[in-house]
Amino acid sequence: MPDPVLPEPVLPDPVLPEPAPHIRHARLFLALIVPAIAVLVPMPFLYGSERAVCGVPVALVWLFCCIPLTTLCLYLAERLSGGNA
Amino acid sequence: MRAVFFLIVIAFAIGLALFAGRQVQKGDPRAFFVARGRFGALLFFFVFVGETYSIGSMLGFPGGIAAQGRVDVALWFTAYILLAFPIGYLLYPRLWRLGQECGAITLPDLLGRYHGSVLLERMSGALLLGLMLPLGTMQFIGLTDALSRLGLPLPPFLLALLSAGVALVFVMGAGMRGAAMTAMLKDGLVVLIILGVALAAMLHWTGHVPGHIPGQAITGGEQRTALFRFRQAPHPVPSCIAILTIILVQAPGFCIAPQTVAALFSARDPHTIRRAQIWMPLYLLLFPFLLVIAMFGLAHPSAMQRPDQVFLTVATRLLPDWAVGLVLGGVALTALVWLGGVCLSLGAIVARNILPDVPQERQRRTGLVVIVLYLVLSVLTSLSPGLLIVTLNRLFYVGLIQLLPATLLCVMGRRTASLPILCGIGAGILGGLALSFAPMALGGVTPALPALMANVLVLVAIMKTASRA
Repeated sequence: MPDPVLPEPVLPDPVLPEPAPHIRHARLFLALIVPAIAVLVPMPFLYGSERAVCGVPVALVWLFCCIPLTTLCLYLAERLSGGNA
Repeated sequence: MRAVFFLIVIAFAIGLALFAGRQVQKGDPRAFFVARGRFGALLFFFVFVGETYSIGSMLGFPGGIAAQGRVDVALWFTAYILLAFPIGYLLYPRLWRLGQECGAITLPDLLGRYHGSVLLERMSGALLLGLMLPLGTMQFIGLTDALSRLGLPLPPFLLALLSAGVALVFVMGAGMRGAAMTAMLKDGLVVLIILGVALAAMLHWTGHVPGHIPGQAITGGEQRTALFRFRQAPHPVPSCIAILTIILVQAPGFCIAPQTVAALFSARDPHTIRRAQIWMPLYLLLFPFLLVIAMFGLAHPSAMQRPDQVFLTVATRLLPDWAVGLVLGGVALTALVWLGGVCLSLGAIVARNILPDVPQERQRRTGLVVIVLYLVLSVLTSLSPGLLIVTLNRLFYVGLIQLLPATLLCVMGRRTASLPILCGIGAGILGGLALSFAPMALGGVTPALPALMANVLVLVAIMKTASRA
């Protein structure tokens, strides 16, 4: 394919090689599966519930709790892989 | 006093953008559009946050809750942005590496060069161009609402046009670097503003709300305790399905939005991207404070003129005049920084992917012409808002998500012919449009989801057929 611009310099990738498969799987579980389950699975049960905390429906309260949980999961996933991609 | 503080904020932001512009190499499109991919964790964090939280988050989130009296908007809005960060944490480093290998600074660059198809590059560029037009319109609608509260003797059209001029200065000044510098100012201001307005709402919760609408009675309950209950959805099952399917589509869709990808390519390395992604969800902790503002509006209907403008109404009623100027400045910056990012990605897509014969030294100028046209068109369409804008907003993700399969093929290392990809995209868009406009009940399912499934089915079917042949 003709490139309309001059070729861009490819920067050296400063990260270390890929981590082992079991580390990658654990990282996938921590970084994506846990937050997705935490957000999506309780939604049908909490949505429509009459319960509220300080007037806020419990579904939304739970979702707000998932915010620091997601950061914690991503942090642990990063620690697990030792900063490697 | 209000206008003076507003102007101080805007002038300071312009100064920052122009200061950043001194460091940009003229004539280098990569420096202009993605800052040569040199942003460290801090600048990348701010530029990414700037593209994540638009004026829609600040005004639309509390406005949607107050207008509906329900939390449905808050649920899907919070959840899809929240889940976009884990997806981005895993997806972005791979996209960044592919971008480096292909010399890509836009999504069409990446798709076209990875799959080896000029047609795919141009078609995906044209699709994104069409999808981005209503986004600018919506920013200017919010911007005009905010600017009309300045009390300046200027018509809304002129105010919006002036805002477009300021957005252009941001972009012309320093490209992505200017957007990043102003994003730092904007984010600091936004945190202060949201906390300040929420605190004022809490302090006035049971007291007198200044400036209630004349002729509208303040109820005894409102004065005493200001208690209220959120409404329940009339049809809980379809409403819940709608929330879940919107989250499922928009979380990955958000990760491939043009302005998000442009911000991604400005990062220095994958480690920078992942480090920023870890902390980005915490910015969502401002949403509970936006909820407080919406709840204040619901509890004090006598102080509300338009529920969808609850944030600005509460700020105007409760804060001193100088603080309102800061709030309006922060809201305007939110829109302008976001517009800056969108304009940059739009300019890059047109200059590189739709008109690829433009020489490198003229790409920046071509991009700027496109940006001017985009801003003027957005201002003009923002002056006639109606159902069309709402519809276009819904269609944005119906179209955008169709590029997800082709992007995932890149990430998985599967180079594919352009025919199955383009047929899949076509099937997805046609299916999505048909489902969006046809009077058929989907049980709450957002049309983008079956449209995406149609895309994947067509893509896989043609790939299988081709491999057998």
